[in-house]
Amino acid sequence: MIPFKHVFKELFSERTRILLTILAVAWGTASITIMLALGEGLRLTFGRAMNGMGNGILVVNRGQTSRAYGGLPEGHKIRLTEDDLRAVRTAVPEIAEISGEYASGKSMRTASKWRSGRVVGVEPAFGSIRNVAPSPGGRFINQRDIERRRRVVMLGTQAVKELYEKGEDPVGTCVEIDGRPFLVVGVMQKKFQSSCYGGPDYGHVWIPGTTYKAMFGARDYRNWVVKPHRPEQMETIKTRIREILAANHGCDPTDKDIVRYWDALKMQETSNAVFYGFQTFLGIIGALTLIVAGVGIANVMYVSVSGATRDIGIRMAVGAKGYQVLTQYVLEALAATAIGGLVGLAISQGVVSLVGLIPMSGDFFEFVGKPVPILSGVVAAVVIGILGLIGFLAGLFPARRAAQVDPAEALRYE
Amino acid sequence: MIQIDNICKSYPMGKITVDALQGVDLTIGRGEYVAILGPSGSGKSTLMHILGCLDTPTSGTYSLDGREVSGLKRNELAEVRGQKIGFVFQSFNLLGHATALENVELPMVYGNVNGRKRRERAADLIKRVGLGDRMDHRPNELSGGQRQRVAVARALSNDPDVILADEPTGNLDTASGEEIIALFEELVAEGKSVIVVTHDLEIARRAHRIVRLRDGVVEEDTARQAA
Repeated sequence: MIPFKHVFKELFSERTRILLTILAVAWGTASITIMLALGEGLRLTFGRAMNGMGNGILVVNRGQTSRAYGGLPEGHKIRLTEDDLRAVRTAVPEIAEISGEYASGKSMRTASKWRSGRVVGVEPAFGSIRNVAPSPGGRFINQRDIERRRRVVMLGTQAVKELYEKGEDPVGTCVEIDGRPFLVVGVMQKKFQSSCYGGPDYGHVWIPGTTYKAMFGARDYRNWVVKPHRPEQMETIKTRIREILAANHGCDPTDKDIVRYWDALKMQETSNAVFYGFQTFLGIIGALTLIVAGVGIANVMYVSVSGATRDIGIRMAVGAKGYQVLTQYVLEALAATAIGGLVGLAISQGVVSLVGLIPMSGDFFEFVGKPVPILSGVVAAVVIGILGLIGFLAGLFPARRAAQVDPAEALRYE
Repeated sequence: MIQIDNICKSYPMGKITVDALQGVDLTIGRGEYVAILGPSGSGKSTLMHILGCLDTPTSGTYSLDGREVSGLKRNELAEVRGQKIGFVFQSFNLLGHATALENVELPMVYGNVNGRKRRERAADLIKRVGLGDRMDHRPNELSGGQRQRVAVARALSNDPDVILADEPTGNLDTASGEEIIALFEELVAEGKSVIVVTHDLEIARRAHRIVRLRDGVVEEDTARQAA
């Protein structure tokens, strides 16, 4: 074996060659990791924003009959009633959580400010289904609020901005909704959300469903939100809800239009697929760049072996065996690749940090969050693996040529 | 020490085959100082490559220090070269980007001598050839004579039995050449066999024995009377 120190000495003795090699590998590494990091950052940001409306939930909206059946005409509206909700709750065990949702626009007032916005009447389960969580120091609607029809409210962040002075704590204060006082029990924790109905959650305020019904006289729900125990139960749940509604309202159970579903899970799957496709695309481009870099290394090594024929002859004359020369060139290529890879990773880490520093503001980023590129360990490991392989192969072929140099031939012409 | 019998070497050159050596017999003992003399094309370079285990003969036998080496494989030959033979070339053949010290260390790197011992021995050898103040110089910072002395030091690093020199003074001025020859004479006095391949009669005359080669055969083999 040849000592590593010796190899490194050799390596740095040919600076131009080594610089070119390192540059090629660094460029390849930096481009593939930056691209993958950007892709990963986008996917995670949008994935998180996607979960902002709830993770894998189903929104159930009222529909209407698409054909006459059992005495009902075509176009008959199917309302979502309390009886329906009760029936679904007891008869569909696949449902983990469900909440009815009343909603309408109302005016709200504090001592000094006024706004109008969406008031939503919900049950406690709504919070966890729709990822509406209270900030520390507050709470969401609870079961006692429902039972006692308390006049309590949790505010979205935008509602807080519009109703209170900066720095003021709304919890414990009073908001008038349609002229009637409600006690503020919580403020929504800031979150990112990429899809919504009736506007983003930060503009909403939530009160107990029972209070809503009693005070604002709603006869039926605007919609329900449902969360299954497991994602694959979603289709069963959809079928069961339609069957129950059909039975309760006397319409055709095969009529798909009596209820309209918004399956956020499906939407999420689609968007995930798009992002994985995107990332694969970036990965392929990065891999091609790396391969180009690898060809560059192989080329540089090959030329250097050709130029070093006499040196190889000298080494062999003084006792170097073929495999020792081979090992030396392979180690040289690996060392060059390793240094280049590290430089590349450092560059991409730098770029990633810089992008993280760029201020991004505006409604869009307020809504979905800021896509910060993420240099994941997996990406780094994959890149290092590919680089190692490239370095090894790029070194191996020229090195085999070097090992086959005939010393007498190499030294003959001087 | 060295015994070759009926060595032939032919290699193809284009469509024809060149018979560079056509049955050479030669015996060289320990501590002998032999010059192989001949004009270019006489086969002396080929003979030197075979004696130096850089090449193998087409036919014939070669016994080096009691071991038959004519049929060895590449790696075995490399091992023999590393341990038994030291080379000195006309064009020095030093590694251009390595220092004098590193050049002298090189055979020991491949001979698996450990780092500290290697450096110590290399430094001793460089001092011995009178370049103690030039250890960290690269070849292009040394004169021709100094380079050749580094090459001699390198040839000695694995303490070989045979020093093979191919026109060692060919690229040197008379004074530098004289220094190299003086070094060889010292080595012979220490019991090493020195074989100088040359076409220069003046150089050959310094040896104790002259082997004249012509057209691939030994034409004349004469020993000088006194050293």
